[in-house]
Amino acid sequence: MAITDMEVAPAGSGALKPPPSPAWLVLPGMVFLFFVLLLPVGWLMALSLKPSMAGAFSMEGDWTIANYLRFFSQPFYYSTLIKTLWVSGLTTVITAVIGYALALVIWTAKPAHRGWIVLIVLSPLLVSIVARTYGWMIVLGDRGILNQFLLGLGLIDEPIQIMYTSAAVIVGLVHVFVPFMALCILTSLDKIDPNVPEAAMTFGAGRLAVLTRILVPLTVPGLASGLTIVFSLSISSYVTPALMGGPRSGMLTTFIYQQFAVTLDWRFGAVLVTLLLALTLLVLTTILALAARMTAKWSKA
Amino acid sequence: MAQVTLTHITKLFPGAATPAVDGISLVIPKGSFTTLLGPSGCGKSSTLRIVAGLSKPDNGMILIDGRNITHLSAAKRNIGMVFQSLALFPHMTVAENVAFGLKMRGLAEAERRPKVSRALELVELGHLAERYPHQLSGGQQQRVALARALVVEPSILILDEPFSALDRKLRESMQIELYRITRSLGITAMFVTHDQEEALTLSDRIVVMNQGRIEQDGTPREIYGAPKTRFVAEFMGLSNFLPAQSRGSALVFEGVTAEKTMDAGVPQECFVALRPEGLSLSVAKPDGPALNGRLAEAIYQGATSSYTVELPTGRRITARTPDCGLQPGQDVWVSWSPDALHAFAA
Amino acid sequence: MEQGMSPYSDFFRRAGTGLLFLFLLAPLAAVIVVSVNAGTTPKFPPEGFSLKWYGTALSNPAFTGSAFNSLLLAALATAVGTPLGVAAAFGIARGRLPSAVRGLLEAVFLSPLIVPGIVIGVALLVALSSAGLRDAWLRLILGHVLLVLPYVIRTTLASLQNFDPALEEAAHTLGASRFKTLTQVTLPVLRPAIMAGAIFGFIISFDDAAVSIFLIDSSTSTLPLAIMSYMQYNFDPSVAAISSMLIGLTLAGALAIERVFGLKKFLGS
Repeated sequence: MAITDMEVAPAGSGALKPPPSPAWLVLPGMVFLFFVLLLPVGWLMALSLKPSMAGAFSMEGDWTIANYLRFFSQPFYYSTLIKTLWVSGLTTVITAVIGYALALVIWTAKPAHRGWIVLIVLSPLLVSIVARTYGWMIVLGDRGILNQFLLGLGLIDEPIQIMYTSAAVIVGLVHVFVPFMALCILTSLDKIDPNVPEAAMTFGAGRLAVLTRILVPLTVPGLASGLTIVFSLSISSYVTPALMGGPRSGMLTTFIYQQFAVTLDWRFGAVLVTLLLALTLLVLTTILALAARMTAKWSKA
Repeated sequence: MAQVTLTHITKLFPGAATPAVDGISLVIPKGSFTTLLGPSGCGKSSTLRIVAGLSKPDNGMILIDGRNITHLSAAKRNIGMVFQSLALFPHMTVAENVAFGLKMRGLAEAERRPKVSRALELVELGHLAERYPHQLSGGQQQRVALARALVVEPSILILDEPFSALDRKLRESMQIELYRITRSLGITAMFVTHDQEEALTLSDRIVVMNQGRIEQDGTPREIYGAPKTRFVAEFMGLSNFLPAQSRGSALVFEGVTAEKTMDAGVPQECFVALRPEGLSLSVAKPDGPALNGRLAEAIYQGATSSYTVELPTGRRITARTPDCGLQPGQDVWVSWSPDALHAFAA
Repeated sequence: MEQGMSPYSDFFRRAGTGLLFLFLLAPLAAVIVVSVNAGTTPKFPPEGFSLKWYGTALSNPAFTGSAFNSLLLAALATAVGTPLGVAAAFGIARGRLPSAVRGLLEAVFLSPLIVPGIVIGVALLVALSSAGLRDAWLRLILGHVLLVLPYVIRTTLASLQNFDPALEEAAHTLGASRFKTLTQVTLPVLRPAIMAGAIFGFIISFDDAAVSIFLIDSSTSTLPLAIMSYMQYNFDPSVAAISSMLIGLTLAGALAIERVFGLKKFLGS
C-alpha cells in the first residue's frame, strides 16, 4: 500500500459539504400567505368583536360580543346557519349515494370503457361554474326541459317551480360535487382485492350483503374523505346558491355577500365569516376524527 | 484507470448506536474488479457511497492514485456510478442520458457524438439511441446506465447492486456482459452485492463485510474454498456446522477423527462445516473417516436430491448428491471429499 | 362480480347508470344545444340551427373586455403563483424539517383550498381597504395568486415525494454542479407536475367568481362575473354561446393536464 503525495484537498471550490437546508424557500410563500390570507382573515375575525357600525372596517371601538348575541337572538339571522347546514347535509347525503353508485359503475366497468366513464363522471368539474349553472336554468326553469317533459307526459298540469328554491341549489351542488365523492370512493374501491367480494359470494353472501357488509366498510376511508370534502365545499359554496337559489337563497354565504355588498355592515358581516370558518373547521375535524376511529381497527396506516 | 485506497474509513450515522462503516482500510488495485459482499446493513453500500463522494466519512481518507480526494465533491472525482435504481434521467433520450456526463465536462456536441455512439455500441444499444428510458426493457435500461457511467472514462466504475431488480435469467446474462465489458476495458471497478453467486461470477477479488468491518478479503477461490470465519462460511453457502476439537493436523467431531491441514488461527475448541455438495452417502461403511446416522429425510430435487441424516448426538447434517435411491429410516454412512471439510474458530 | 345476475336486475342497472349519466351531462348538453339555437329564447326543441349567438356574444364588449381581463388575470396569477408554489414545495419537501413543522407548513399552504372563496374575497377587500389599497387589479392578482398557489404546491409536492434521490446523485457523479443538477435534472423531471398544477390553477383562476366578486370594481370585471350580471337581466342564448366556448376552453385545459400528468391522479390525490 503505497500512499504517496498525501495532499490535502483545497478548501472552497469543490469541497464536499452537505448542501444548505432549502427550508428558507418556504419563506416567500409564507410571507405572501400571511399578508394575503392569514392576516386579512384574522383582522376580519377581530372586527366581528367590535360594535356594529355601517361602513366601518377600522378597529375603533370597544371589544364586545354584541354582534354574536344579535346573530343568535334573531331567527332571521340564525336561520341562515340552520339552512346552510340543512342544505349542505342533504347535498352531502345525496352526493354520497350517487357518488357511490358512480364509483361502483366505474369499478365494475370493462377496462376499455373505464376511460370514457371517468370522463363523463368528471365532466361537471371540467365546465365553468357559470356555464353549468346556466345549463341547469335551461333544464329546471319554469319553461325548462324538465317541466316541458312532465307537462307533455301529462304528469303535471302547470309548471312546478324548481329554480330559485333550495331544491335547485341542492341539484346544482350535487352535480358539481359528485365527481369528488366518486373519485374518493373509487380510490378506496381500487385498493380492495377483487377476490374479497368474490370470496364473500362463495360463502353465500348476496349482492346486497356484499355491498353493505364488505364494500361499504372497506371504503369508509374514501367515503369519509368524500363526505368531508363535499360537506365543506357545500357550506362554503357561493356561486351556485346565488345563481340557483336566487338572491334570497338564505345561505350563510349569500347572506355574507349581502352584508358586505348591500347592507355594508362589515362588522356584523365579520360574525358570519367567523361562523362560516368555524363551521368548516368543525366539520373537517369531526369527520376526519370519526373516520380515523372507524378504520383504526383494521387499517394499516 | 486508477488505484483506489481507503484508509481507516469510519462512518457513523446520526442516531445510530454503532458505526455503519467501522475503520475500513482497503486497496483496490488498478484494473481490478473488487466486490464488497455482505448482508444488508453490513456497511458495503455506505462504503461505496463514501468512495463515490455521495457521503462524507467521519474519519479516514480516500485516495485515487495517491491523491487525497476525501474532501472532493462527487462531481469532481471523475467516477462512473451505476445505481441500484439505475437513476436514468426520464426526460432525456438514451443518447442524451449517455452524453450528460460529457456535457457536464464541457465537451462540445461534435466531441460528444462519437464518444456516445462508441459507448452505446459497447453495450449494443446503438439502435435505441433516440428512445426514452421508459420505452426500454429492464436489461436495456441497465445497459444505458452502464454506458452512461463508462462514457466519461472514469478513474473507477462504481456499481451499487445494479442487478437487484432483474429476474434471475436476465441477471445472469447481464453479469456475463458486465464481466466482458469491464475486462475488455481493463477498468477498475468496485461492485456491491449481497448475492454471493454474483460476487463469485464477476470478481477478481471479494471483500466480505459484516457490521461495518471486513471479515475476509481474497480471491473468489479463497473466499469460497477457504472461508476464514463462520460468518463468511455461512454467507458462502456452507452449512452442517458441528462442534469440534483440533488436534495438530486432525479434527475430532462426533466421535470421528479426520486429517486436515488447518490455518494456524484455528483454536482447540472449534467448529467444522461440511459443504453439502461435497458429501456422499453409502449403506456400507466406506474407507476413511465417515459419520454414521439414520436417514431422516430424502427430498428429490431433480439434478440432485437433498438427504438429511440424523446423527447419534441428535444433530442433523444435510447432503446434496445425485439421487441414490435411499429411503428414510435407513442406516447410512456419510463421507466427504477433503475440500468439503472446513474448520473455524466459533 | 357479474355472475348470478338476472336479466331483470341487469336492466335496472343499465337504466340506473343511464339516468346518472343523464344527470351529469344534461346541463352541459342543454347549454351546447341552446347555443346553436336560431330562436331568441333558450327553447326546446331548438328552432333551427344558427351560430348567430356566438357572433352576438363575441361582439358584446362586456364579454370580450372581461374575457381579456380574465385571461390576463389568470396568466399573471399563474406566473406569480407557480414559482412561489414550486419554491414552497421544495422548502417543505427538502427542508429537513421536523415532521410536525412540515405538517403545519403543508396545512397552511393548502389552507386556501379550505377557506371559502367568498371569505378570501371579503377578507382581502377589508384588509386592503384598511391599508388604503383600492386598485382592483392589485386586489384581483393577490386573491388569484392565492387560488393558484395550493394547486401548484400539491402537484409539485406529490412529485417531489416520489422523486428518486439517486437521480440527483447520478447527476453529481457525472460531474454536474448543484445548480446544473437543479436546472438540468430536478426541474425537468418535475416539469409535468408543475405544469399540471399551473394549468389547473389557471383554470381555477379563470373560472372563479366567489373570490373576485368583492375585488372587482365598476371598470374592471372578470368574465364569470360579467356573465353572472348579464344573466340577471337577460336570458338570451348568447350566454349559452359564451358558456359553450368556456366549456371548450376548460376541456382543452383538462386534456392538457391529462396529457402531462393524468387527470384522475391529479384530482384523486
